[in-house]
Amino acid sequence: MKAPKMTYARADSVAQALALLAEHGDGANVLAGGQSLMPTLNMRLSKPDLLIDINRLEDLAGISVEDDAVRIGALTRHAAVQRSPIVAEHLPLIAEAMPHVAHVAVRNRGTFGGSIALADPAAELPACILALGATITVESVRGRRDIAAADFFKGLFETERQPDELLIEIRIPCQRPGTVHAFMELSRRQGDFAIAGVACAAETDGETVTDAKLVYFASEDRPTLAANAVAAIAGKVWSDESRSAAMAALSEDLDPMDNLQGSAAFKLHLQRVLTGRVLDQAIERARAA
Amino acid sequence: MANSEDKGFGVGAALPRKEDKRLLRGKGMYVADVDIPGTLDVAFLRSAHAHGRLGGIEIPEGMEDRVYTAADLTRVNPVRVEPSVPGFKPADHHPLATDKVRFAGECIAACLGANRAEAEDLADALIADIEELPALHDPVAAREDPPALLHEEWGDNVYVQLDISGGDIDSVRDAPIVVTRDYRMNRQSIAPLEPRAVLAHWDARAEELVVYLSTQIPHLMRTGLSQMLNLPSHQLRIIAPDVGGGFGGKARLMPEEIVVCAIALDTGKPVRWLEDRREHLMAAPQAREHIYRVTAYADSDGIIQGIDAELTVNAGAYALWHSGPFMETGMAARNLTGPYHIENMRCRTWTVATNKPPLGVYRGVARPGACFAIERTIDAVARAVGRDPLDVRMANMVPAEQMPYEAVGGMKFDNGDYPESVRRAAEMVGYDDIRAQQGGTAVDGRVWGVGLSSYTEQTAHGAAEWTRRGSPIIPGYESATARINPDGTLVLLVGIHSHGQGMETTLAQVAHEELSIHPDAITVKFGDTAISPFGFGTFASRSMVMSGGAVSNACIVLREKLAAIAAHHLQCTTEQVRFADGEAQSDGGSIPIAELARIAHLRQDGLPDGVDPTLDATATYEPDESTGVFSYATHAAVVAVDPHSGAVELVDYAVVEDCGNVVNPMIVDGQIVGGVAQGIGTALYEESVYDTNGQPLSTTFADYLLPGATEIPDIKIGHMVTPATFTRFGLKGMGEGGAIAPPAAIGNALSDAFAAIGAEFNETPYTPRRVLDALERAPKA
Ligand SMILES: Cc1cc2nc3c(=O)[nH]c(=O)nc-3n(C[C@H](O)[C@H](O)[C@H](O)COP(=O)(O)OP(=O)(O)OC[C@H]3O[C@@H](n4cnc5c(N)ncnc54)[C@H](O)[C@@H]3O)c2cc1C
Repeated sequence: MKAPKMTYARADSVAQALALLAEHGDGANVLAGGQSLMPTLNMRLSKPDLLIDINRLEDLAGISVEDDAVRIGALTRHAAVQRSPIVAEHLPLIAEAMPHVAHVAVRNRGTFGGSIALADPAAELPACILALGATITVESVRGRRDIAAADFFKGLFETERQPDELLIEIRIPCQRPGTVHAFMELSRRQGDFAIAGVACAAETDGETVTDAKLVYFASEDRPTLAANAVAAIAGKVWSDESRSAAMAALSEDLDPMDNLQGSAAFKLHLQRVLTGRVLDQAIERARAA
Repeated sequence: MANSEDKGFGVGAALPRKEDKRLLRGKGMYVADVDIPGTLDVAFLRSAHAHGRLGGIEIPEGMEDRVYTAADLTRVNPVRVEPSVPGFKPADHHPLATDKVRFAGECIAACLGANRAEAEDLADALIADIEELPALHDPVAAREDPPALLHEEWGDNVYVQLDISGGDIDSVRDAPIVVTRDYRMNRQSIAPLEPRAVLAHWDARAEELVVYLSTQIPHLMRTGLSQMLNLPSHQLRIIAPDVGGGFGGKARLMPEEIVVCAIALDTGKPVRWLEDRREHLMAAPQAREHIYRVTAYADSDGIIQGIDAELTVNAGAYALWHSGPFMETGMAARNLTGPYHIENMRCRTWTVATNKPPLGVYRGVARPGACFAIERTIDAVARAVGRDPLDVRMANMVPAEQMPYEAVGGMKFDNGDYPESVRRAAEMVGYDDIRAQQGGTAVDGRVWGVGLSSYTEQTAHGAAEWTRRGSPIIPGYESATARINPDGTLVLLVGIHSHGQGMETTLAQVAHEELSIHPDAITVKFGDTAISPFGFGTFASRSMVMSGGAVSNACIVLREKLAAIAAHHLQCTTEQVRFADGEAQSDGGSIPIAELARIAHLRQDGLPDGVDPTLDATATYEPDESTGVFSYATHAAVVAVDPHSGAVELVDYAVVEDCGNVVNPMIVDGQIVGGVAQGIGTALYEESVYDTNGQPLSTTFADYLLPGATEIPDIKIGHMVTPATFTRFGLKGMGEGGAIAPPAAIGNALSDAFAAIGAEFNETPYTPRRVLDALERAPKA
C-alpha cells in the first residue's frame, strides 16, 4: 500500500494553486488534511499526476462572522471548528456534530473544506451545511462563484465543483432565534463514519412545527433533504401521530443503499428511528428555550 | 501469592515490567526497523479470484529478473502437513501458486523493487491469466453439496472428519428436556498491531542465511524453513526482535516467509517483505468460523445428562505448517462440555476446506467457539426449565469436592472451585440488583441484560496431550540456559519469545526466587536461534509454566554449584548455605554471589576440588503430569440494548479467575484485560466478511472493526488462588483465557435482556443488524 508515482507541488499562494489546477485539471488532486486522500492514494484508488499541497495557504483557514453568516475557510481544521466560540454560539448544529467527525488525531489534520469537497455520503458536515442552507465559494482562474449547498452535492463523492476549481470557503447563516437544532447519528464505534444519521434545523415554538430541514446522511448517495417527512408535520402540533406520520413519509424521501452494515430496509428503519428521536429532541429544546 | 505487597522481587511480586523501559520510549526494534543497506522490498502479486486455474503470468519485458514465480523457486519444497490423525488428507501447498489459486489474496508472484512502491508498480503491471472456478465460501455447503473441489485428489472438501465421544449419548435420549440450537461464530482476523514481517540476507562471513522474522516461534521456524528451503539448520539463523503482538497469528510458517528467504538465497541480496494491513486482512492466518448444532438432554431441573453435537469448522484453503487445522475441531469437541459434569457426549466434526485464507491459531484456539456453544446452551436449558441461568450453571458444574475430575471429553481437571467463580463474578456485577431492576421499567429506554460464561483453560500441557492430539511435533517441554557472568550478573537464554507477555520480567523474577540476584542484574534474552537453546516458543499459554520451570531448573544447577564454592570459603557444608540479597549466607558469615562468580571464572585457585570453572547451565522442564493444568474463570457481562437501533453498550464486565499461584499479578491482570478486549472484538465487532464469490469485503480497518478504548469498559477482576499441584511454584498458564468467554457472556446477556420475548443471540458478532434480526425473529416478538 504505497502511493503511485506522482509529482508533488506545494502551493505558496491561492493564485499558484489555481494556475496549477488550470493547467492539470482532472490530472491534479488538491491535498488538504490528507485524512481521506492519503489512504486512497496508498491503496491506489486514485492515481493523480500531480498533488497540489494547499497546507501553506493560511488565507484559506479561519472562522469569522460576517453579515449574519459564519465564514469558515476551506483549510480550517476540524479541531479548530470544534473549539471555536463563534461556531458554538452561531452554529450549534455544527458544534454538536463535530465530536462525531472521526477521532481527535484525524480532526487535528482533517479540514472542513476537505470534508465538503470530498462529499462522503456518510459524512456529518455536508449534511449539516445543507440543513443550514450554506453557500460554498469556489474559485478558478476563470473566476469565483458561489454555489448553494442544495446544488453542490451531486452524488457519491460527486460535487458541483469543477476539476479546476479550488474550494475557498463555506458561508453558513447564523442560527436565528425561533430555530432549534438537533443532530443524531448511529455508528458502530465512537468516531466511525455513521451507519445512519440526521441533521435537523426546525422552526418551532415547542408545540407546532412551522418548518424544518431534515437532512439524512449515511444511507443515500449524498446528504438528502426529506421534503415529504417535513410536509407530514409542517404546521401541525407535535404529537405521537405526527411523529408516526413523519416516520412513515420517510420512505418517499429516502432510497437507502445497502452495504456491509445492513440492507436498505435496515437503513430505512434506522433513519425512521432517528427521525422520531431527533424531532422529539428539537421540540424539547424549543420548550426549554 | 496473588498479593503483591512484601513479595520483594520474586514469584508473586507486581514488579514493573523490565521491557517497558525501551518499549514505552519508542526504543523497541521491530523487523521494519532493521536497516541493512541495499535491501530490496518485495510486493506480491496476489490472486484477485477466490478459486481458479492459473494459466500464464505475463511479465513486462525487461522485468523478468525482478519477478519470481513458482517456476523460479526450484530449490523450495512445498509445504505438506501430515498430522498423525487418521483420515487427514494432506495436500501440497506451494508458496507461490502453481496450477490453481484457492483464495483471493493467495501469492502468485513476488516482485522486487528498490522500495515497496516500486515493487508494487511492478506487481500492478503483471497479468495473471486465471480461469475462474466456482468459489466455496460456506463450509457446510462445501462439505454437503460442493459446487467444486478445492484439492481435486481428495474427492471431497473435507480435511478430516472426526467423531469424539464419551459415555453413551443414546442412553439419555428419553430425557424430559431436549434443547437444540444452532450457533455460528464467524470468521475473523488476528490483527496484531505489527503485521507480519521478514527480512533475509545471506551472511557470507558466517555462511548462514540470517532471517529477521516477526514470529512467536523462532526455533520452530528454523526447523520449518530448513525443510522447505533444503538448507541445513547450521546455515539458518532466525532473529525475532521485538514483535508487535502475535496472538497465534505468528506461530505458523507462511508462504511469504519461505519466498523471501528463497529470493535472498537466489540473489545473495538482502530482501524483505513487510505485510501491510490490507494483505493482513486478506492473506494472513484467520480464526474461528465454527458452526455448531447442539442438542442438550436434561432433567426437569436443568441438569444436563448429555450433549449431542455437530461441528463444522471452516479451515480455509491450506493446512499451515506445522500442525495444520486439525486441532481446531478436536479441541472444540473435547472442551464442548465445559466445566460441567456431563457424562455423555458425542460430537461429530468436519474440518472443511474452502476458498478462504488458511485457519491459524488465535488466542483461545477453538475454545471461544466451544465455550460459546455450551454456555449459550446452558442458558437455553435454564430458560426451558424456568430457572435462572446462574443456578443451572452452578448446579451443573464440577464441584470442588469432585476434583480431580476427568471430563467426558478426556480433559483432566486438576483442582479449583468452579461454582465459587460463578458466585463471585455475579456478585461483582450486582447480579441480584439487575434482576430486581429488570422487573421495573428501564430508565433510558434501553433494555438491560446480564450474562455469565464459565470455562476451563488447559495450559502447560506436555507430551501426553500433544501426542494424543496427533501433533506432528510435541512441544512438551521448554529449555533455558542460565549463565552467571564473572561479575555476578545473570543472563537467561530461553527458547520462548515475549511479545506482550512480560517474560523479560517474570523469568527474572523466577531466577531471583532461586538465586536472590536483583532483577536489575538479570538479562533475559530470546528470539535468536544463535544464542538460545532450542525451545518451542510462545503459544498455548505455556511460557510461564514451561520456560519458568526451565529457568528454575537451570538456576538450581547454578545454585548448587555456587553453594559448593561458598561452602568451601565459608567453611561449612553446602546444606548450610542459603541465598539471600545476592549473597551466599551461612550462620558463620556471607560471601556475595559476585565474588563466587569471580572465583568461578577468574580465580580457579579458589574452587574446591571437583568443581569445574564457569557458571553456565542448560536445563529443560516438563511438568510432572503432562495432561495440563486447568485455569478457569467466570465472566459476567451487563449490557444495555437499544431495541430500536440494535446498539449494544457493555455497561459492566467482571472476570473472576484462578490461575494458581501468580508470578506477577500486575502482568496477569494485563493479560486478562487484553484477552477480554479481543473477546469483545469477537462478540461485537470483528468479522472477516466474504461475498458468495469468496471475495473479501473487510480488507481495511474501516470495514474490519477492532474495538478501541471507547468500546472496552473497565474490566473488574477478582482472583481465586488454587495452586497447581504438579507444576513448579504451583503456576498455571493463563494467557489466552480472557478471549474465551466474552462472546458467550455477552450473548447470554443479550438473550437475558430479551428473555421475555424469547429472542436469542447465537451468531457473532452481534452487530446492530443481527440484534434487530434476532428481535424480529423472536417467538414472542
Ligand atoms: C479513521 C478516520 C475516521 C474518519 N471518520 C470520519 C467521520 O466519522 N466523519 C467524517 O465526516 N469524516 C471522517 N473522516 C474523514 C475526515 O473527516 C477527513 O479529514 C475529511 O473527510 C477530508 O478532509 P481532509 O482535509 O483530510 O481532505 P483530504 O484528504 O486532503 O482531501 C479529500 C478530498 O477533498 C479534496 N479537497 C480537499 N480540500 C480541497 C479544496 N480546498 N478544494 C478542492 N478540493 C479539495 C481533495 O482533493 C480530496 O479529493 C475520517 C478519517 C479517518 C482517517
